[in-house]
Amino acid sequence: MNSLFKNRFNAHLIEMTKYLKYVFNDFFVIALMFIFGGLLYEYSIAIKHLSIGIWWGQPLVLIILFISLQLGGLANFIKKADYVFLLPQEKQFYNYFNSAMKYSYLMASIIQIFIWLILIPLISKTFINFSKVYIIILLILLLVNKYIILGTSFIDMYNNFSNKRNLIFKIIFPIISLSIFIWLSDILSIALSLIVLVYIIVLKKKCVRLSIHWNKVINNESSRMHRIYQFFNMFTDVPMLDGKVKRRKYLDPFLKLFKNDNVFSYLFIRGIFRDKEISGLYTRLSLIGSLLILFINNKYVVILLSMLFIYLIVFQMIPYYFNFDENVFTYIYPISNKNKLSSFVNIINKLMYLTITLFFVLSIFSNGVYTALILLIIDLVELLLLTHLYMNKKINKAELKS
Amino acid sequence: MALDVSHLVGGYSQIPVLKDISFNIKDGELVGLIGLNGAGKSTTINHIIGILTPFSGEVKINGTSITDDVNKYKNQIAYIPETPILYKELTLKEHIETTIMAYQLDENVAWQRANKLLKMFRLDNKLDWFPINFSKGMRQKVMIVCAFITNAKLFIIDEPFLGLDPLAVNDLLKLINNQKEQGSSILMSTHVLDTAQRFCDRFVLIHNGQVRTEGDLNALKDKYGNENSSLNDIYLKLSEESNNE
Repeated sequence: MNSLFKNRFNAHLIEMTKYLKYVFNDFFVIALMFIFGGLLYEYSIAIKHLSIGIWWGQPLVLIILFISLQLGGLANFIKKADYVFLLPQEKQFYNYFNSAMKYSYLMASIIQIFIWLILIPLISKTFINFSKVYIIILLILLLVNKYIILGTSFIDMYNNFSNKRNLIFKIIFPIISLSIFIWLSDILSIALSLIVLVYIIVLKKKCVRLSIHWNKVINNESSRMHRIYQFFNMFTDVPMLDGKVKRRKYLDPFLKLFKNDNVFSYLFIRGIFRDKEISGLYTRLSLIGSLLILFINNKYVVILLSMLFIYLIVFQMIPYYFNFDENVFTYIYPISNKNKLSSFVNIINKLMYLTITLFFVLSIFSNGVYTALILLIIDLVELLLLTHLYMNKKINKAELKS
Repeated sequence: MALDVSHLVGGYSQIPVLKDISFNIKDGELVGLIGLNGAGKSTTINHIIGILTPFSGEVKINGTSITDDVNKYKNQIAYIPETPILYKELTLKEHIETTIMAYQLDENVAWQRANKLLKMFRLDNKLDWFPINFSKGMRQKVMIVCAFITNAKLFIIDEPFLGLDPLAVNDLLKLINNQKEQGSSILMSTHVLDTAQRFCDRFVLIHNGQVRTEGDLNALKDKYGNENSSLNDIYLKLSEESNNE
């Protein structure tokens, strides 16, 4: 049992490095450097214009800190089959979960320290009571609160009947302690947090005698892994994603905007609207692109970014062309593949027109009409090249392989 | 001849699973395809519906092979798979619409038929749901509805009874009978032998990728048993014999 966590952890590391290789391909690293550098530059300029005591400084810091505390959950690498195969070992899982807790806390602490570092300039510029001691107490406060949150998750894995504990210790208490820290007294805040920490540690120790809530543990872990796979799926195909669907009845009226005259276009558009993976991918990338375009006030960077995102979205959507191939009926129906590609291109084009329009309108706000018009023309040309030349080539090549 | 399988050799990779299979189905005939797990029933079906390509030999439906005219060939088939295969993105209503579009059916006629079938299987209030979330039996019913709204000449039904409630089994058998009366043919693979014995006109018994024997129940009784033996008895006896060989 003791080696189980180590084995699982190593397997997890190997899996993650496999995917990270795809995430940090040369192309994306360069894009990332641009985006990151651009954001830091904008941040440093924005900081210069701030003055001490500005009214929204403290609420903003509270919100960022609260959100950052929610990042990084308890990773336990439990698998569905454990419930069946390791049933007699239930007691030993306490130590297993403890190892999981240590690992998760380490990862979460790294995130906390990173956010804390980034926020130091903002806090020093906007808080009246800023001092070196103050900022170090903040770091300790964050780390203690993170332990309280993860500890609550730990206790939550066991059957001990309290549905309010999650709400109180993961949401309400962090808000209270951070608010006290910002507006009342840093010492009071850290003292309160330490008391709660002791309470959580005591509760956690008691879990060793309780039974595990397997359903919850398995569901939480699989949805956690699902989120990770979803992230990697933006860069490469992740076989573990089975693609959940949602009805989204409110989108039904928009189905009419697309061709529905053959089986493939009928399937493609419904799939893209309802499949959580592909629709999530499209909306996520469109929204991230839009936000960057709205906030970056440099015409070259904005145009390059818009091109990058158009490419990313189209590139990621190409594999969806093959989505229905695994369903035998696509072969059994008396239909030909003739319209398949043109139906797909038609739908992708229409979706991308929407994204480009969004980019265009937002770039008017950030960079003016002139830059926006250039962006519009360049993006449209890029899209047509992508869907009419690049996509053809990619799909034909993939079809030849199979 | 509705279905004519002649000297079919085939399988998934280089090694043939089916070794020279020949049988046929006449118009309006219900033929039971019977054999142990792994005997080659599903492989035979996959060749008939055109998922697999024969190494040699050929399959013809009403005189057309898949190489002659793909669309004409496929237009004549309706297929109900062993485990329901559905589009997870589509509602029940949209599955029916897709079938109508794929087989280019007349919309009014097809929907009339569909509504009758939906009512029969108590699915008429679930048109807007995703069938992928239904129970096994209900998913099977969706497959049945979609297959029986087509004008197919040949129905291929792979193990249809598992997971269906007794009422639905009865309804399905009625539907099959209706189609027979209209001249369509049915190939049904199944392990539920007492039902097969009562309803099939003829049986094809496959063993180790070959047709072990074929004929109606009386012919099988004459050859392998006595007048009191059931299909089950004959089947068990034949399997034992084959094992001893």
